[in-house]
Amino acid sequence: MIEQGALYPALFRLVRQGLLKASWGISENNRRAKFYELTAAGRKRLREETEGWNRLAAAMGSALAAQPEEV
Amino acid sequence: MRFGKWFGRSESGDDIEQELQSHIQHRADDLESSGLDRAEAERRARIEFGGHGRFKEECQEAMSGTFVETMAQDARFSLRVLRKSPGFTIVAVLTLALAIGANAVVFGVLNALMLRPLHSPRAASLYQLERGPMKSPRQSYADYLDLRDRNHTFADLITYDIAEAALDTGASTARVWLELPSGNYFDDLGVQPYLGRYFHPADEHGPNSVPYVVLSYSYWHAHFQNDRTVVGRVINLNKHPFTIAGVTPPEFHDPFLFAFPDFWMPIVDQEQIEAEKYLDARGNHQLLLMMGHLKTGVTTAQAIADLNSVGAYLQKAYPKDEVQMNFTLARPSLMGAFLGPPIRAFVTGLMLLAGLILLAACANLGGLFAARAADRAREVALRLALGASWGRILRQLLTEAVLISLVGGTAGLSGSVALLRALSTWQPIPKFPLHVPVNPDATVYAVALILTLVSGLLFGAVPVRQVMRADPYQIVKAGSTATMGRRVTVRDVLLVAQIAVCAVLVTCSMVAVRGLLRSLHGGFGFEPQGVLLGDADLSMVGYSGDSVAAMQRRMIDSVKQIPEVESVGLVDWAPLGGEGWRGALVFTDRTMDLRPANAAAGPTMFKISPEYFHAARTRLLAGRDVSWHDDAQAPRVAVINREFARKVFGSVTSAVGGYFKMRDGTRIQVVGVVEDGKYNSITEDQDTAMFLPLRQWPSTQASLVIRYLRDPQQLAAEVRAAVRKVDAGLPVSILTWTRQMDLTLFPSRAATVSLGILGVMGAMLAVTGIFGMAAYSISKRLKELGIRMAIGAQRWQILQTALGRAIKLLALGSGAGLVLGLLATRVLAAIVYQATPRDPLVLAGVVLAMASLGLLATWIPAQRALGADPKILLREE
Repeated sequence: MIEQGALYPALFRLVRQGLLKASWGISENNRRAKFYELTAAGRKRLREETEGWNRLAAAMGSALAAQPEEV
Repeated sequence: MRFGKWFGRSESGDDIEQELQSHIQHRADDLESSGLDRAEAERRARIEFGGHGRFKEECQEAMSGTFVETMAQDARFSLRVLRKSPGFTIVAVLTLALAIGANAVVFGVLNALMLRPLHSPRAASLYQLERGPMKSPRQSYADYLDLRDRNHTFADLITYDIAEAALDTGASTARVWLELPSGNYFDDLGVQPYLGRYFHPADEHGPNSVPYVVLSYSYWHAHFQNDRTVVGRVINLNKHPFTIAGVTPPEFHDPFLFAFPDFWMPIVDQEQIEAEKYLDARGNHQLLLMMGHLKTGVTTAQAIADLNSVGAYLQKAYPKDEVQMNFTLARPSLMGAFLGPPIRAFVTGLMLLAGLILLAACANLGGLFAARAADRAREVALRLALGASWGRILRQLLTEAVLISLVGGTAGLSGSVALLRALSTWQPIPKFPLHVPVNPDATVYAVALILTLVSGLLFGAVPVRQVMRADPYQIVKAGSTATMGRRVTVRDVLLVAQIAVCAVLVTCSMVAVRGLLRSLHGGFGFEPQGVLLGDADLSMVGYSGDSVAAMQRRMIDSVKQIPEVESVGLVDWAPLGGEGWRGALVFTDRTMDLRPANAAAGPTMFKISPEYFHAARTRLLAGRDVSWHDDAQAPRVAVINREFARKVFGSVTSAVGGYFKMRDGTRIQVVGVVEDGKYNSITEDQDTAMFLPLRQWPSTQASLVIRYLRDPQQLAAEVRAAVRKVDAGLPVSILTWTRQMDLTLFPSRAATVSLGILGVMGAMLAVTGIFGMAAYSISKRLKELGIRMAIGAQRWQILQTALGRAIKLLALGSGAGLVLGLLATRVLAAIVYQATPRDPLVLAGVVLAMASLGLLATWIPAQRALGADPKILLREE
């Protein structure tokens, strides 16, 4: 199981790379909370990574679905 | 805000802490709403969150601010480690302080003399004129006027002379230095007055037409107490009244870097100050410095062509006076080719040597760091085993090195700044208003900082490979003594290189010192020890014509009355006094066409009284001394030196009784020949010289040459009193002849002192280097030595085992250094008179010095090895 705290170093890394923007605000149960949103660079990166993932997933999918005679 | 991100450890730390806490609180809120009580909800939330401290640290590392933070952490850790080994730290810091300090001082000098522009707007286009193949910087005033008015490439040409005068302050007379510039001097240099105004070309209306002087800031500050009402006041210089027109700004002195005159007086007033009237003397080329700004867009080649065409015209128009009227241009700051090349070569050489010192220091410290890294292999292995990254450990080691270099560099720089400041106020030659303005500026600080950081990284990088190769598993298991091999290590190579560098420095300094000693006891053709020179210029108090010789004779007689004065003579300019070349062309008696090209010799000319040779202890080889009977009515006579006799008459015996001619056709009979000597510089080739009787060739400027047999301090006061008895208003400056020779000896002295200091530093580095290596290898092998001793090894065997390697490396390094040093000293020979590397004494000295340095450095480690007690050693561990 992955501990919840492991999320934070990743978030900070993304902020430092300029992919995320963080600001303090108030959550619905009235506590201070940090809100993260994607920056323009972040959105672009997300698009690229999604395409990459989709290509990989499609490749994996077709590989797994392949019949023995097609190989 | 941005800085907060970089440096604010607490702020970003707090921020992360708050965010993590807020996550846990939110999760606890969720859990609470699902029915758990608050305490249990928070406990569960924390468990789900995981290792709070670890994530916080990871977050910090993920943020950019951590760079500075880890650096601060490293620095704190390094300080702790260094405090634990104070001996190592102190040696390292001192080594670097000395090396960086030496580099900062030498660079400060180099910067001031070669890199820094003159304090003058448009300094880049300012050039000095040099004439003929000898690149003579001095010209005649008539040539100046023609060159100024006929050239088309210079915006303006300025010229100036330097002279000394008596300033009558009412109570007493003081000797001051004047610069005598052309009227356009201040306008062309573009310097604004600090007070009042300057004089201008429009003020000049022929000789003695401008009754103004300009005061230098420092003289105004020192002698007029910053009195702003001084402008308009009348002062008396050589009994002529002048009005103070203005004061120059504090930074301004003179286009020649070293001269700091007290007053500026227009050159057209020259004859009121100097005995020799030269404004119309076209052939008198040994006078004035000339320089000017090129017009914008004009290249130096165009300017030279332009000047040469004017020169060719002058040579055609005045064939009797003008020779070699072809010109070159040079930077005025070091008097062009006169001082520039040797000074530049020497300072560059010094900079190289200082760089070598720094390299040697880095090698030294690199060796120490490598040894420490080997000692700390266990600590490093442990940290690696516990999960530290290689990068972090290397960064830690480099931080330690840079920290040491920063502390050492700061100490060295502050020392060198103090030294440079002191150098700037120092007046190396008491007689002349010369300073070496080497105050440090931003460039010096920047270079020192860069050198500090680079050397820190350099010696910090030495142990990197060693650390990278280490296998933590082996080290933790076997301890750090396991890998004492016999192979050649980086440390050995560094030590040999370092000792070689040190041997080079020791060799250079020994060659220089020996050269200086020889030049001080070389054949001057006179004996400066035990002589006082009393300089008096009779034109300062208004003597002229026949009264000059009579007064000079009275002065001699008066000084002779002082008890224990052996003999007194008079000479217009004492040899090696540093006034520059004063000579004349002479012709054989048969020569009819007295053109410069037909001259038989160009001897240095001295005007002397009888008994001068006796007082100076110059040996008379043949014939007689000049006498008081050789006056204006008697036939013209001269005493010449052996070289003159050889060159013009063939031999000493054939010279006595022979005749030669001067430019104006005067026939002079040789009545005596004296031994050869040095006249203008101690490095000159043997020059010809002639000594003419003062009564036939009057000169208002003359130095009393007083050979004494007692304490010179007290004698100086009595000489002053004796001269005052003859004329109360005549200022005399009294110095020993050896002091007076400071100017001519200054280059070789400066060279010797700086090389001596570098040599001592090299020796110190060699000692610490060998000491460090020997001490380290003994500490490593103390256990082995103890065992050997326990099974009966002799003392010499122990010593051989312990120190054999260090001694071998020392011998290797010294040998290499000696050879390199001897090669390098060929360069030295150009500056330090009689510096020859082929000198058995120097060779023996270097070998002896390196051997005793080795002995000194290995003494303490050797004692430690011999004192090893096998019982105690074997009980350890």
